[in-house]
Amino acid sequence: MVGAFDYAPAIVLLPFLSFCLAVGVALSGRDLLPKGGALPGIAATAGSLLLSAWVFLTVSGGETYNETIYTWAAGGEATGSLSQPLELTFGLLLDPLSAMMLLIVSLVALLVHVFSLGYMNDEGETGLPRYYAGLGLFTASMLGFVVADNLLMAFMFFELVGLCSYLLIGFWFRQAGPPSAAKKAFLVTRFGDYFFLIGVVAVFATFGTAKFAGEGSFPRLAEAAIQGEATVNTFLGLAPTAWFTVVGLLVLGGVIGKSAQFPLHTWLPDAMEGPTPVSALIHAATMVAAGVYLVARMYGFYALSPTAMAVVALVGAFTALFAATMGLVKKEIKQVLAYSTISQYGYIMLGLGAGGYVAGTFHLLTHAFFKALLFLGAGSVIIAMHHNEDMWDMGGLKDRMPVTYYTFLAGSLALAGIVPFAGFWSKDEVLYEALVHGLGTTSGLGTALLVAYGMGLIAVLFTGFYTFRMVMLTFHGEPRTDTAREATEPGWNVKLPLVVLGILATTVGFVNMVPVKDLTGAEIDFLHKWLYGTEGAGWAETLGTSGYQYHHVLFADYGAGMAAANLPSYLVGLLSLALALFGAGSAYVLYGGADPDPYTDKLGVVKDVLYNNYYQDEYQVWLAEGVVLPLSKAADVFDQAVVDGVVNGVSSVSLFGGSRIKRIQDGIVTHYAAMLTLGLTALLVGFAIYGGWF
Amino acid sequence: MVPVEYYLVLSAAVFSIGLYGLLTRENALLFLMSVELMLNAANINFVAFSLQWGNLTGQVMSLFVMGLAAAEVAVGIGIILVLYRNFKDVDVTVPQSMRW
Amino acid sequence: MVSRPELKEDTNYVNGLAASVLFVVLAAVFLTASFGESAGFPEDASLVAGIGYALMDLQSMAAVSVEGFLASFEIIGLVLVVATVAAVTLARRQGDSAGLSTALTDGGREEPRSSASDETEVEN
Repeated sequence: MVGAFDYAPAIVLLPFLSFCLAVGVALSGRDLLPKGGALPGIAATAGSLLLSAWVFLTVSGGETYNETIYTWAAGGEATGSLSQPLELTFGLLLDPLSAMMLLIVSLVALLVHVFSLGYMNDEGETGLPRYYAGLGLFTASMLGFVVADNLLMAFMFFELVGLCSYLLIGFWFRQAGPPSAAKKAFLVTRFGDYFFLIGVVAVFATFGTAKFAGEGSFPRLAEAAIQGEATVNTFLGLAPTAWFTVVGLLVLGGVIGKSAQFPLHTWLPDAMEGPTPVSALIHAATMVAAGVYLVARMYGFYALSPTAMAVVALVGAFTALFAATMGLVKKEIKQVLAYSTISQYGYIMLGLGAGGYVAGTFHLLTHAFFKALLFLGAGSVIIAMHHNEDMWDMGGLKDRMPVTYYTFLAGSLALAGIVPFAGFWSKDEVLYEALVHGLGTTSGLGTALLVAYGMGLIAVLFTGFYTFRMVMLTFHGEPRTDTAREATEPGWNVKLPLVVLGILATTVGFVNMVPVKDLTGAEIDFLHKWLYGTEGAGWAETLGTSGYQYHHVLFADYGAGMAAANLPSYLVGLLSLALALFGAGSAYVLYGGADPDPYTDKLGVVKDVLYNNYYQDEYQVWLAEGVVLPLSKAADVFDQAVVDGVVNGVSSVSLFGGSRIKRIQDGIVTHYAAMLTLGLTALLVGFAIYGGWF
Repeated sequence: MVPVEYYLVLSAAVFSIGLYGLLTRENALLFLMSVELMLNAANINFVAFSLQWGNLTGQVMSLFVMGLAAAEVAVGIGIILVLYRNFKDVDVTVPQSMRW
Repeated sequence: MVSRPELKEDTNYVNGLAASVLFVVLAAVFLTASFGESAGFPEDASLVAGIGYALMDLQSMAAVSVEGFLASFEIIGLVLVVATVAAVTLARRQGDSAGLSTALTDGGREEPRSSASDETEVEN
């Protein structure tokens, strides 16, 4: 029977088709497609969404899919202590995690395509086929990344995603800012991907395979190797656990770059130079999610190493706090959202690092919807404000743009973590997991998790504050400019995505209400069940990517060695909710008036530091110019003098020899004949002596 | 019967005389004559070894060599004519354009 | 202008030394080698008839052992024709596209030719 899995490759190929179409039109230079190529893109992403939903339903029926589709390079035989020959393949892995992610990505992509009709087409932008080609390729590569069944394929699509990000950020390439931001995004993420690439090679060298799931997948091999049941290659003289930590941290380099974690977060705020729908799609809902999704995808590998888990959790928590403080003082609406994105991905990392596989994935799910919503809402505001993004020029938009206001408010409540909006449930679960595992675990990992929990908790306060500062400045009070006074709401193609996402941002948290479950005992933690499967049976057993497996590894002595303290989740949730409300309330008090003052200016030098992002850009530029540039110059001198010198020396010998020897060929026949004669004579004498003829 | 060594020395002598002419003379016509001498030295070898092994193949080969020599002379004379036409001389050291 | 080829006297005897050396080497090799007893031909065998049979691939009828050379015979015939044509082509005057003039029967009168083509040839 032909099932959903037979059509699964089409999920990736449909947006790719729309990309090809848009590129063809862009190259033809004529306006062949109505709406500049938006309609094929919408059709393709709608098709992907339908197929994803079908896959989702099939997966919820308990079926999974983990097959290699195409082997593009195969080794002859196994080498070293590897048990199987090296194979480089493309394949699909469709399990609950990827099915869920497929649904998120294709839904957000579809809504962003629709929104682009309002943001790009109606605003009379040029170069639309190029824009829709970028969106199509981006969607295709992100979906390909999600369904990848091995690390190498994931890496390839990871890079494609980065390329699309570059193309789309630099869409308005005739202005000064976007190309520079695009280059920055490309280079910074590339720096992280460099480590990722080494990590991929290390995984291949260690295990001989990079498959994520099933028999002989590398997380399983790693688990068996630590228990002494399998042999793998380790390097640098390290024991398996230590070496796996190194490999995990190398791959984490790519994650940190792509998910904009400290210290490689600097590209994301600049990436706001791109069109706002792109910001929504790439820099909020999906591409940035690629990094953390990768951690979730190979969670069984990270769970083996307490050090790697601690690093993930600490990096995440620090980023969450660090970015939240910078978001406090920004003037532009998209900048606030950019820093909130960095901060929220910090939470996801914190959740994953703290052993909350479900919690991290849950926050990934809710954040994708409410952050896409917030960006699209900001896009709607920006359309109304004629592309002025400064919040101090807005104010009072509430009455003129009700749909945008209420959906944006829903997103903001979700972002701030106010009950019962989506962000509350997921963020609360992340913090809960960090706290109980931090208290329960006795090793250094426990301490690290407690520190991370503390930072995450403070960040909740700041999140509430900057979110509502943004809402107040934008929508409340009196209009501060003529543009704001005359703002009107854009058309249906803007409102429709906002409404869909607004509903989702309000309700999607209900899929996993752990505190309510603990209070009432009702079995309503659906996402939990979804990602856990049935213990010891079905896909949870064959694929080894279920929550049971991860839980087992996390709590095992050979794994991260975690333990959970016994705390009621609603009490922990109450604490973070109180902090969020306090932050939001103080923002309301400070900025809720008719004509708010710029209170952040009173912070003085602190504000300058925050506004300049802790001078992160400056120190990275200094690193590039003060350290890397002299090194490169030295390398250049070495290259010019030594390498080129040797090459030129060799060639000059040949040249000189040739210029002398060529004089033998003087054009006189007699000389040639004489040389032939002498040569023959010499040959004969040689043979005679050698062969003993005389 | 004459030992084959004598034929060989004779042939070597004829060959060397032809070669000597080739190397010392500068007249293209003398070149042709010298080449004929060298070819005939080869013929002597063929015939000598035909007798040595009691096999007629060598003699047949010498007939072919004569045929080829005729063809060679025909072409050679043609080349000398062109040489003369281009350089107004039959001195082989005059054309020197094919060189470094 | 047709001039008689003149023998040049300024011969290059140094080059000739190489030929002498080659002769010495060859003679030394030949005289030191041993070839064994000569097989010779039968007294009454007709060698010329044998060669004729060999050229026609009828070597089984020859009195002395020999191989068949019919193919070579044909090829050498072809080569001679080619060489003749080549010689004629080379000997033809360039630019004299009117074709080969037939044997002149005008008693040795000077051949009429254009001075223009003469000059271009000198330049060559």
